[in-house]
Amino acid sequence: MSPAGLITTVEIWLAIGAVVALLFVTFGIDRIEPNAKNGYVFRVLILPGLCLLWPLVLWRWRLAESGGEDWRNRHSPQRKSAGLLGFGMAAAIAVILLIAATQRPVPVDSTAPAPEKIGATAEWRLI
Amino acid sequence: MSVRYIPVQWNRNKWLYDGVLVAAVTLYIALFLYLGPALAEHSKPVDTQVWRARAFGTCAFLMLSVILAIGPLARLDSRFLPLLYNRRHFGVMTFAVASAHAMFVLDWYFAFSRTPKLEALLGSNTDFSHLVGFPFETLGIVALLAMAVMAFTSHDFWLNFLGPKLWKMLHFAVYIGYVTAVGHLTLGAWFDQGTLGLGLLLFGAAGAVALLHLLAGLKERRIAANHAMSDDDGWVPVCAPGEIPDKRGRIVVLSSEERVAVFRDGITIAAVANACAHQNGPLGEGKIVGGCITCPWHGFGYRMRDGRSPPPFTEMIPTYRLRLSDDMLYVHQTANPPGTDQEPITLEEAPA
Ligand code: FES
Repeated sequence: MSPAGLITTVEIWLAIGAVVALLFVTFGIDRIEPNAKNGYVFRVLILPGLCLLWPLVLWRWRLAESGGEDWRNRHSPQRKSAGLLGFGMAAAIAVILLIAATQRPVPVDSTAPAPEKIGATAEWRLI
Repeated sequence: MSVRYIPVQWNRNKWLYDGVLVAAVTLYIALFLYLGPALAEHSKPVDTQVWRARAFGTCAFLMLSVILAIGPLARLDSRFLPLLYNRRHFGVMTFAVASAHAMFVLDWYFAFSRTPKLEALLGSNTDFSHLVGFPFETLGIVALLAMAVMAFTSHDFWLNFLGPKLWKMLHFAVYIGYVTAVGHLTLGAWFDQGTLGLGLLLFGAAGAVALLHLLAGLKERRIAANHAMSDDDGWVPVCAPGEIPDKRGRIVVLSSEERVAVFRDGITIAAVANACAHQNGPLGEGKIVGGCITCPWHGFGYRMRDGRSPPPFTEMIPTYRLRLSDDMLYVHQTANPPGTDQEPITLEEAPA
């Protein structure tokens, strides 16, 4: 997809999101969320998230209206996936750091004599 | 704890936390902008706008690294728990700093572009086949998007609306955000400049985050492997009442990997789900304050016998049945629905 096409897609996505968000904060939230009663300023804060995640919002809105959520879902944390993701992230970082340590190109356009390899220079620039 | 949503929940501790954070960010950026040009090579003068982009970029990376270190640190050592308390404000601030970095970059590098700036950025380099010259900006955009999702869903409304489980899943985006941020820094600034400061930031911060997650993950695995078996009727042994310190809890891992927190307050013993209704914090690692089980993460409180937050609060957690026989406590592996009143065990006298 071209950059212009990508940007248009994002704009359409957010435009739909804006419609869903407005409907939700003016109408839906009061039907499904008792804590929202008499609280209006916080609705502005949640607008960006509603625009961005509108399919999720529609799904949860429907679920809340039908009262169909199993309470057990709220009390069983994702320990396994959290652990796996943590390990996955650590492994991905290790790979990137390996690339950082071994693949950095030797600078070519420096006016100072370029070091042969990373670390070959006696003076490291701090910044 | 929620009764009615307000824009931002602040209290004295949160003001302090946020104040320290804002001061640290301001100091870092001021020092960077002041010292950066003085320490850099003068043969290649760099525009102020670029210094700003570097200051905000490195600051955001450092902040994201700290955010990611707090979770495993708190799991490994409870003294770090206070840092966890207001991590959401930390996250929102990090997103703001990272956005400022992105804005400086767009404004400087594409200031004179005839196509719109964002389009110019996305279209300027689309060769993903080499490490050197890789369009590292794309990785930065992914990292920023992940931070945006988290910042935009940080209000308590989202926790309640999505439920802690889904909310947490969404916030796992931080892992993707961090890996792409490490890639962005490596293939961008590090490949280009390779300064000592960048090296320390990259290898020190990212290395520490990876190591801490590894250690915390291994600790979690050890706990999970230690699950108790139930008898045919579904009763799972816990321990003798005296083994639970007064006003503290003991966590039992069921064979389903669900966790139950068994608390003792003097002669009273009750069992509730270990997952807090707020963000599923580990209740069993908390203590009893003012007669309520108090979560170690953000301080939500629940009554022992029915798992309900005292009025006017409305949060509820599941309770469990307990049995005492031959000085041994047993918990039934089937949870009662949240807020179910469950008669606690009352001992004849407090254990020595
Ligand atoms: S997880 Fe936030 S108070 Fe328990």
